[in-house]
Amino acid sequence: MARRGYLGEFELMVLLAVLRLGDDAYGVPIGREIEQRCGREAALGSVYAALERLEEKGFVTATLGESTAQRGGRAKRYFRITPPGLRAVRDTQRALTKLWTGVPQLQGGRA
Amino acid sequence: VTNWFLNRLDPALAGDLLEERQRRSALWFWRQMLHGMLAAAGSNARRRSRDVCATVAGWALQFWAAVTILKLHLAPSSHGLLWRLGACAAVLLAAGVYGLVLGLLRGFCKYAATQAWRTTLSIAANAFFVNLLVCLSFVLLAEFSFTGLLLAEVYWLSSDLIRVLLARDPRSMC
Repeated sequence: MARRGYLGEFELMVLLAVLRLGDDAYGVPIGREIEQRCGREAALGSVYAALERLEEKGFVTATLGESTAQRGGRAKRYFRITPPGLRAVRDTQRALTKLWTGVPQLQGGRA
Repeated sequence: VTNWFLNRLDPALAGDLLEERQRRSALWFWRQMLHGMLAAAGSNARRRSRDVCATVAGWALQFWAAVTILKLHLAPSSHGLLWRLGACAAVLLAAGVYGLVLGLLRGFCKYAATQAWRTTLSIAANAFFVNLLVCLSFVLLAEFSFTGLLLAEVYWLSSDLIRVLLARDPRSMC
């Protein structure tokens, strides 16, 4: 697989959370989405580190939002997936599905 | 204390932590804060690898100079005026070399990105004067032991690395 299309497990989770959240994708909801859907705690620091890597790869873009007193006057940073990002998610899904199919140990839904 | 830690983090992340603090425990907040700082340090170490290498190289050179001076100082030779003058000259030389190495490695590699020669000069001057003070204290305190020196040096390296890894703006690292 081309290097540009490669996504780590957590990066894929973050990208999918950004996709699901649409216009409301910033740190807190992204972390919550991963927690609720995957049942694992996502540290906000890790979420931001992953988003930074994804931004460097050109898979997401960031825009600054409003700042509130509740946030100590600090602005929210909203993330949006880019076409290459979407392509990377699709590539990863395709690759994982190919690996998934035909593995006898994974048939029948039992460990 | 909370503000000091929050100011070391990405502003958006700090805002998110404050927002979530309302509905989470204090333990969660501090765990996330620590995690955020470690993640930021990891990412900065990757992006500022030249600065990290320069800091360690400058420190290693300075450590070698400090140990050499300490060995001279602990030698059974006399501690007369001439010796002290010689030691002070050695200290000045070590501080100069350290300042120069740090200035060249850290300042000038940053100069390429920032085109700020004042930043470069201030980095070199800062390294020179801080090192001068520390080395002079080694010479003036006759009881200074190797353990003391080692502790001071470890503290100095850690504080330098923390400054490099946790500064949000690379131009404010020194």
